[in-house]
Amino acid sequence: MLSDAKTRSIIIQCAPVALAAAFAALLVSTTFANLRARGIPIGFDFLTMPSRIVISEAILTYKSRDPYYWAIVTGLANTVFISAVVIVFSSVLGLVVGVTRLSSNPLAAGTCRVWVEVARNSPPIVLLIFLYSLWWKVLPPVGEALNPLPGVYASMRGFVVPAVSMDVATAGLLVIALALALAAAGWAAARRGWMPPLAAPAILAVGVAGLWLADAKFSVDWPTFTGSNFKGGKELTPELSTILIGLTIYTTGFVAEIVRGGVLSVGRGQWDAGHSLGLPRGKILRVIIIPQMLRVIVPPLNSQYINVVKNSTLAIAVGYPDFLAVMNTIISKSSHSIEGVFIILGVYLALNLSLSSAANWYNRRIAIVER
Amino acid sequence: MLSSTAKRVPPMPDPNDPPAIEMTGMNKWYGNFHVLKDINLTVLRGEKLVICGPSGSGKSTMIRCINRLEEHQQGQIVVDGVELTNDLNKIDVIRRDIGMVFQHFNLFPHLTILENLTLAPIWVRRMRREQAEQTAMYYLERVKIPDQAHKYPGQLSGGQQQRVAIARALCMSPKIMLFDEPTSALDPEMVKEVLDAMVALAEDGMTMLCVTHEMGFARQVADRIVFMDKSEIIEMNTPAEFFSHPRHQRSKLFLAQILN
Ligand SMILES: Nc1ncnc2c1ncn2[C@@H]1O[C@H](COP(=O)(O)OP(=O)(O)O)[C@@H](O)[C@H]1O
Ligand SMILES: [Mg+2]
Repeated sequence: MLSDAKTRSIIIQCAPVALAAAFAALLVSTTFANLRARGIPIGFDFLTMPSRIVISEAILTYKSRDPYYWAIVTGLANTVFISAVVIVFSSVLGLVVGVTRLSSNPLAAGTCRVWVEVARNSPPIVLLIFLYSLWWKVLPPVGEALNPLPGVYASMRGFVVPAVSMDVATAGLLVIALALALAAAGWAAARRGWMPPLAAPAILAVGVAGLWLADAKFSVDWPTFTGSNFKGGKELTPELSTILIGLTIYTTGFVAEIVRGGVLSVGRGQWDAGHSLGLPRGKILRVIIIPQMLRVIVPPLNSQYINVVKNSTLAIAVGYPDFLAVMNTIISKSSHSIEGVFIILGVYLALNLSLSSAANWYNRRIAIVER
Repeated sequence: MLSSTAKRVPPMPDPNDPPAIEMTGMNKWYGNFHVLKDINLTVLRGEKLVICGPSGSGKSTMIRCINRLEEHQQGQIVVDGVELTNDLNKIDVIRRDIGMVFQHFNLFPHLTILENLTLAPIWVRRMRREQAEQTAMYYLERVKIPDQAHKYPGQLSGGQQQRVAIARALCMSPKIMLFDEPTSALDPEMVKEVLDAMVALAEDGMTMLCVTHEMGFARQVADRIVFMDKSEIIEMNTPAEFFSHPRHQRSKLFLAQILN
């Protein structure tokens, strides 16, 4: 029976699992026994108790009277927000930088090369500390805030940008209007085969007119300077700005290298075929090279996205309360360290597994059909 | 039409027409390597040229210069009355009118056959999708594979892929077709189906430049044979003359090897 390949493979696979399970059980039972002997409480009951910890800034609304679980969710939301913003921006910038490195313009290619080298060769924490120290050295005090774009101010205290506010009904209307406009554009593109150049402004105009007709409650809150401070608008603290900008610069370097490798992995014959049909370079890149490159770059890109989630814990270096920082505070305040560590591990595992499964799903969807 | 039963007499090349392609004193280097030496070649409208010669003699480089896949450094190339310079607009105009078929097909593997054929007509010729698809189906029928329209290139045999590549080039209604060893990457049993499609195209009066070592094809359709060796055009003659009385020692040697 032991010579049967199937049976043997089952036994070989079961043995290590059983060993690991036994080891874990031993560890857990010893720990529990020790903690109980020393009179330290264990369990997740503390989560519903008021936390009384302070979280200096949050994407969600948090007050220190809120229970522990809400503090955890608040920290998690901060981490997810940082990761999502950094992933989106570094993907877009990485694509541009990676493609530009292959351009025949030496100045553009050289600039991108410097970016990549700096990002790839500096420890991310150094980059963050350096950027953070720049706030007070480079940016002026609030009274002399820079105003690079209308409604956007930059000073020692961070960025202030216009805030858009609308009620739920308006937001719903906006989503429906945009979906309809996109569907119409998609339909037109499918019929004509290409998007008329004025499509985007037209969609926008229709959307705005629709909102105006529907008498939507929609307002933009422009920041105004009151002499000592800004009133209105949305503030981005130096801490949040640093972690977003720093991690984006850092990750862009890696994404750009992956993109460059991806473009080079598509053979020269594809360019030849595109050129011989009279397609312009940008079009070849968008409809022939990038779609084929995606299959190659999704797996390494996914590792970079996972790194973003992991690197978001460096927020602690500039004092931004990300999930890990919040959990640290919770652990020291509640002394539920074992539970805390499990929550930390579980959350990062869940975040990264979701990223991986999204990548796997996408990779299967775009797989090349072969005989 | 394509079938050999409906054979029609191709329009004879008229020497009084302006030529389709005119290369004068053309030179090209790769770094220090002189890959094309003083190329002078005039191709009339409707003319079919077969270009042959040993590997590395510069055949591919020469025809790739005609649609600016490669840049020449000296001399002149005039295609359909337009000189090839660095003017990007002119390059685009010229490329639209020249179809090219490659040794390794170079189909777009992530697009269906139909999408491969309609991509350029839609984006470059600004054709409506239905019209582009009609044109595509017409040419797929001409190369005898309309039933493969919704498959992907990877699902087709080499011979079928090369016929798709020919159809893809034809969908842009080119005035000139370039072929770079279209059958050298194919299994022997698939060579004929591709050559048949090329013969049919020749019968329709297309101006064709074919780099190929298929001497049967050369005999059947070529108006002239161009023999290249060591970066130069050594000899240019009608197939009958070239095969029976090659003028140069190197041509003789090459023919002896090719025809064993
Ligand atoms: N991109 C290139 N860079 C440098 N040398 C090249 C390049 N492409 C071709 N060559 C060289 O130019 C010569 C002619 O090549 P090619 O035109 O492909 O010959 P053929 O098609 O007749 O076999 C060869 O010696 C080849 O090694
Ligand atoms: Mg060649």
